Amino acid sequence: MLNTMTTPTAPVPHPGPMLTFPARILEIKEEAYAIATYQIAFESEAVRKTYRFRPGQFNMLYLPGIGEVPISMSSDPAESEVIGHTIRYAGNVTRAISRLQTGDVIGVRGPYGSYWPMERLIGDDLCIVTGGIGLAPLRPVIYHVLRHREQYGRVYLLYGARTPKDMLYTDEYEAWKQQGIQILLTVDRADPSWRGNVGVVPMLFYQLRLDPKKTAVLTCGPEIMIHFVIYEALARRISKERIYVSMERNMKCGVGLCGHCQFGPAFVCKEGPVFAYAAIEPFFGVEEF
Amino acid sequence: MSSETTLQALQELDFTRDLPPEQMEKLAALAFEVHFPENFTIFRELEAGELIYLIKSGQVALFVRVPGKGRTTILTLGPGELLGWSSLFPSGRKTASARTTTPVEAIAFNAAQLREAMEEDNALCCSLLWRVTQIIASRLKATRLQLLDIYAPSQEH
Repeated sequence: MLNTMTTPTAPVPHPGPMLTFPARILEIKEEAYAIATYQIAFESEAVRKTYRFRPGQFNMLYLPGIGEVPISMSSDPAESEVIGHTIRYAGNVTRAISRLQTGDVIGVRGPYGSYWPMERLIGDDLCIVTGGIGLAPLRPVIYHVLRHREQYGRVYLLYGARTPKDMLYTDEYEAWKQQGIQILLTVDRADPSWRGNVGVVPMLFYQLRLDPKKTAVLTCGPEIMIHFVIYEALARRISKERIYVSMERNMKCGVGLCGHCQFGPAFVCKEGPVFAYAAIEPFFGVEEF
Repeated sequence: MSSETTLQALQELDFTRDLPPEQMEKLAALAFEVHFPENFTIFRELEAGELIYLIKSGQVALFVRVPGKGRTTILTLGPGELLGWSSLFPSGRKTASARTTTPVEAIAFNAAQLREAMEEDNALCCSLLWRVTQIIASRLKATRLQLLDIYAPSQEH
């Protein structure tokens, strides 16, 4: 049984967990190679007005005849009438989405899953550590922090990408910095124009002086990256209860019924995707899981 | 820079902060401060460099020359990090070139003097080797991660 004392609180309830609602694509913004952000709005005004999500949750996006895909929301949770999803074109459904245009309609059900425990972290320093498209589920955290800046202490964003061209949301960094978020960027492979850090994102911890008693780490990205982030966080005496991880598994139903995303005793779609590391430590990194 | 100022600088750097006072004082006596402007080559690959640095501020890029690709940056180092550790070993030649990407302040040690001090003082030797080993281990882990190309697109949904 998962230790719920160290897991973020239950998901936001919604009326019909398996109900799909039509939503129209309002805008498509290319972010990087094969990655774009889709701004969508529910067709039904009633759904649009009542829909709410928390940072870290995801929707199931549906294309009739092709399938569904779980995608985290990447937009401001305080402005949930228009919802952003940052999508990497990597499989059948997402490639089909890449062929859609502004004005097209897709099916959406959600929100699903646990979320980053922003209320519990009030008063803390936040160290957001992410790589690649893993920044997408953490961007709502950044928006939340910017709206409630006085509630949090020092906020760091440590972000790594394969190359400078693969970085997401680069046009927003300056505004984030101006509002007190310290951003450290790194790439695995630099081009001649790159003047920033080169190396993997966990190495950026070496540039920080963190107070382990009041710092929480929020991390999302490739699982192998998360391993190293946890290693560096623990090496800095940040407790397992203060490290939060967003896990990725093969989510199908989104409501913990089908079992595709089982991760030890948990279903990632229901008890996750956001877990306190203390809750998943026994099976995190275990090959069979 | 006075040895008192050096001592204070060493007390603030992650690499040396937790050293016992007597070891800190020995190191401070060997250390001197250096400043490099932006775009300055501190050492070159395969050179038998004599100096080891602890970066106080600024950033240094380590690069290698790859035939057909030219200069390739493999890692950047920032405040608190150790630069040029290969010189600590008697036959150590620099494994990469180091060039500043910003103005850099650093604490420098002559590698031969440092080795001599370590040979005379086993406790100091042990303290420093532990720290250097930790750094090499963490860079090895980071290199593995870099080699895995973890952000490469994969077949998903």
